[in-house]
Amino acid sequence: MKSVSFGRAAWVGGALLAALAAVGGPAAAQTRTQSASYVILPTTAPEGVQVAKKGEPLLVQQAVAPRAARLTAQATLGSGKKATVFPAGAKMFGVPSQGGFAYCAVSEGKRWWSSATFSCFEDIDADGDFDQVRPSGSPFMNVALFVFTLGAPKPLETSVAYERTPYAEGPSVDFGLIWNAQAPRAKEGEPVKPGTVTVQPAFESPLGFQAIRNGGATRPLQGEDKPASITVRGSRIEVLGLTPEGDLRYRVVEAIPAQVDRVTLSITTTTTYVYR
Amino acid sequence: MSRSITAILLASAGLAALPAAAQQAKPAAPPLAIPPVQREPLKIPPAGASRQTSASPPIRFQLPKTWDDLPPGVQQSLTPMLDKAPPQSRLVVEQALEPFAARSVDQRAVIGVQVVRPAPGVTLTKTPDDKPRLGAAGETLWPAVIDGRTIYCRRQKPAAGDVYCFADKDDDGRFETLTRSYADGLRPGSVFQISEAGRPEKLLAPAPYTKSGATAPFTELLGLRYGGPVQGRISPDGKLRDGVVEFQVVAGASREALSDSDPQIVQIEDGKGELVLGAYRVEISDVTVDGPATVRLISGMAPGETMLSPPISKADVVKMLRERLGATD
Repeated sequence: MKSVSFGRAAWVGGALLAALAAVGGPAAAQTRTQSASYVILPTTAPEGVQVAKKGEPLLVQQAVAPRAARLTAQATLGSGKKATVFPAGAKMFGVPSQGGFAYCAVSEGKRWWSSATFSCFEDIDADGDFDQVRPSGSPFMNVALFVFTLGAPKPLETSVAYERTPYAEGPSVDFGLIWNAQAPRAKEGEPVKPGTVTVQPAFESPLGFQAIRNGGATRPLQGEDKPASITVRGSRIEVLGLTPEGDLRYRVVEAIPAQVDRVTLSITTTTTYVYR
Repeated sequence: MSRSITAILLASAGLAALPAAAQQAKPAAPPLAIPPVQREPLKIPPAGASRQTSASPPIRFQLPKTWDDLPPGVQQSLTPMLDKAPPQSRLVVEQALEPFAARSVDQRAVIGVQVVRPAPGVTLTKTPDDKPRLGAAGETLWPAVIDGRTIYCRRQKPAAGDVYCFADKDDDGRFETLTRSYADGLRPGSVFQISEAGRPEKLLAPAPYTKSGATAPFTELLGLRYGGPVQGRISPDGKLRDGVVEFQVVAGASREALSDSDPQIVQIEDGKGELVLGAYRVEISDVTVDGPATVRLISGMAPGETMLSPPISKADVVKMLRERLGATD
């Protein structure tokens, strides 16, 4: 009997997992990790006091894969009515593959960030033309950049030219800081408890912004004269308070600086052996 | 031993506030702001404390030359980590890996591979528990190490199928226990390198074997790949001055079929870092986000019998501490 538990999405900036792996794990359980890197592109902080409505991020920047490419000729997979066309100029993002990198794109007529899967092209002989293509698995967290698995390779009938491009020119997704606030509370006869605000980094997906696990911060709300200073991913936010409608008033002192990071999925497999 | 263990050691000894398991760079200026040759007593917070507090006065000791020079509190913290190594097969490396001078290496490029095969093992003299799937008399088993103990392993089919490993706890020439795992208990890409421990079960009857020194008939490649940066701020010149990069151990039947495993995290400080994994030593600098880094291979595994990640000894601990604290010997 072999049971597999999926989905412990641990966003790690360091190497705790590597440390654990280095000293061994429980006897019959094993954890393997898959990860994908991304780059947050810098931007200028908006000036003045901002107001974010409930459910809206308070800061949005762009995240890209650390590797990008562009088709310089049209690629066609299949033939006839079932043919899938990738136009020349299509932007592609790189994901690690066994031979190096595969570059993933979506076909004509589909929005790249909402596509369930991608076609990922590889240049096996490193001659500047793609020679084979692999389907991607569904992206982790539904975030397009996080392709962890590639399907079986299929040779292209005709090789397709491409060129590497700076990562900042690759397909991007929104990377934002989302927030959640608790208003001040008071019970009769007791002092007022200050409210709190929590800010978390999050990726945009077809399901909306999805928080990633660590890197967030919670601070007490102490009023306009004592703004709550929150630092997340190198950005600095001063939270002034809540409006009567419950929206967040804040200032962005510093936007998120350019940085590379990664998201990691841990898969723990538990195996039970029965000796017969 | 791996620098990731070094980091744990140092952190647990209270010597530095390090990212867990991040391998330490060897910058020109020691990050602990300790002079290269320490002549004054060092101030070491008590074991287990990452920060000094008024309630925990620093322990003072000279730069250690032996394990016995370490304060008892530090020894106590480090002792549980001694003789620990990840589950792994004992290897024979067929040829040396030629060191190379600093050169530009692209992400996902293989830095070097070596041909490895199992170390000499043992031979079954009887079918364990009379079950042919557990092996047959005359079959060669290869050695692996789990929790410091040597076990002997076989595949259900030649180079395929489940992995069966046997242990002889009392060293009487008879295996008492069996550990089974699926093929995913092996290093990806490898047909014989154990990477996960299974759960031992008692055999119905002890299974005899001889220490024949025979070698299981597997040969494959084992090496390192540069994975690229995984964390850190990007400087205006597009480089990573302080952050983390990753290397992967690779294994496979050929250079065209290498699979990744065991990510090795290396801390980059002031633009430089160093990977130490067993005998592997690799220096890295000039890390770019979407392109190459400058990599220098100082050493790989020496030819002969070895392990990729040997257990850490007291002498290793002292050596790593001395290096970390700036000793120049």
